[in-house]
Formats: sequence, structure tokens, C-alpha cells
Amino acid sequence: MDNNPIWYNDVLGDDVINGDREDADWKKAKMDAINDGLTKFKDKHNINDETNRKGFLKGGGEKKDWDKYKKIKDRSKKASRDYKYAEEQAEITQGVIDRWKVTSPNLYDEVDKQVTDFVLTTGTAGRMGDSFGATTPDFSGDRNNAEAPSRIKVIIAKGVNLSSKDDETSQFSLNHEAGHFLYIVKYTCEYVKFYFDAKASGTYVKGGHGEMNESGKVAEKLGQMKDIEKGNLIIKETGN
Amino acid sequence: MKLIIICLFFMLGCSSTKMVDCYNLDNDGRHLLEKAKIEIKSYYLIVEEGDMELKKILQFECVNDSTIKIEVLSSWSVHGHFLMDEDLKIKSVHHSLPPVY
Repeated sequence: MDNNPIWYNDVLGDDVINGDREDADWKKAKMDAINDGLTKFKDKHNINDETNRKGFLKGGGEKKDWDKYKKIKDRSKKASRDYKYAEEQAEITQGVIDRWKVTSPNLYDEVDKQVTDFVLTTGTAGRMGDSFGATTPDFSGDRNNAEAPSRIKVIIAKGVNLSSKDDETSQFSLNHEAGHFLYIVKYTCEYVKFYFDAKASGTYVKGGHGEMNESGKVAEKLGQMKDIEKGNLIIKETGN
Repeated sequence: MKLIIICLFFMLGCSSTKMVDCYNLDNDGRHLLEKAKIEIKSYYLIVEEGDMELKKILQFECVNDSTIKIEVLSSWSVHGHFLMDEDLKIKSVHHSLPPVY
């Protein structure tokens, strides 16, 4: 994680981030805010958990207030469900990060020490479509002078098998995504130029594995390896 | 693509409505221009784009108590997200390219 104060205060200036943890924290904040509003509304209108509609109206309450109460209650239930699901998702993602650190320690360290955050989420079929993993290239500033962003999102199937190659891809799939990531953060300006030039000429191949896409070549290379040799990863601008 | 924004800000039961400066988010972003409307609904923002009355959906997430990150979804020609500071002025613009697999 970089030290952009807009994001967080991270004295180390690096990180592999659990993106689903961020999402769960956000959903918890939302749930807490809604529950706080619900409590205040109940206090204001003398409603407790035993109160029913008939009793509320008989006690002088207005129909519009009861309807509002029901809406807030429904929102509270939905927010709780959303948070519960997000929390489960965050735990799955943390498990992947922890296992990756053990199965591919040198590559993990290489990713971790980049100034750009590697923001990992885990996916399900509905979340990822047909892909087993995806990396979203990102850049800051003008396209002609692009700089590495503070973070790049990576998603991997929650069933990723880190200790051996995945049947679905015949590769170490998370290492493959790390290859895309490492090329793009190292050669952001070059990658952005490549993309826009290829797009303009109609030669861009979707998916990141066209003949001229160097990030795809690094991804393929790392996808074949369980780990890299410590301190010996060479990524070239071209000709990988 | 030009997108000009006035942001009506209400979220999480926040009682106040807040205005932000208007920006044109073309491919290079950050040009101050006229107006459109962003309405925050649950996890999404619906943006009306000038007179065209086109509605686009943006995804946003809370970075901290005072900052929202807004990410343009795939309906946009060039994807991107931008950060707002505590006065809800756009702080920086990032662009995303198509995903690689």
C-alpha cells in the first residue's frame, strides 16, 4: 500500500491487501449506521421489539411512522445479511493470501514489496463470469505520461489450488495474475501506450494475451512456476 | 466522453445534502465544467449526463468516513475511478484498462 493519505496510513508502503476485508468493513459500517438509525427511531417513537402495528396506532402513533419503521427494519435485515456474506468472503480471501505466502513465498514477497497495492478478492461464478482469475490494469494521470496507480485489483476463483497447478488453467493461476500485475506496475507507461496504440490500430486482443502483450508473457511464465528464485526475477519491457 | 457532475450527497442516513464542484471526466479527466447529477442509491450512483438524460451506473465504496471512491463500470468507454476529499471535491483520477486474464 502506498502512503497516499487519501487511502490509509501505511508506514511500510507496501502490501498484499484483502479486498474482501475492505468490503466487509464497509458493509459493517453501513450496517452499524442503519442499526443506529433504527435504535434512534424506536426511541423517538416509543417502539420496542414487542410493539405491533395495532398497538402502535392505538397508542397514538401515525401510520406513516409505522411504515417508515418497517422500511428501516427491512434495511437493517438486508444490511446484516450483506455483512454476513461479506465477512465469509473476507475469510476465504484471507485464507488464500495466507496459503499463497507459504506456497510461493518469494513471489509473494516480490508482489508485496511493490509500491502499488495488490488488492485481492476471491470470486464465484457470478462474480467472475467465465474467467478463473483477472487483473484490472490501472493507471494514474495522463495516458501519455501514465504512472503506476496506488492499487490494482486482482480477482481469483475462491477454489484456487495454490500448492499445485489448477485443472481449469493448467497453471498456478494466482502466480499467473501476479505476472500481469508485476509487468504492469513496472512498465505502466509502456503498457498504457501499448494498449491505446493497439486499440487505435485495431490490433488489441482482449484478455491480455495478444502476441504483443508483454504482461501476458510474464503471466504465462510465472503461471508455470510454483515460486520464483529469490531476488532473481527479471521482467523486461519487451521480449519476455 | 464528457461527464459533468453536481453531486447530491446523501448516504447511510446522512441528513445533509451536499454539493460538489462540477467536473468533466473525459479520457484525461479533471476539467471543470457544467452540471449533471449524481444520486447515491445504495451501492450505486446514477449519473445523468447533461441534456442527454443518459443514465450510467457508477459503483462507489467508502474509503474512510470522509472519502468515497467512485468507479466507473464497464459501460464507460474508458473506465476509471476518482477520489473525493472531505469537502467532496475530486482529489485524483485513476483510469482502468480492460481486464487481463
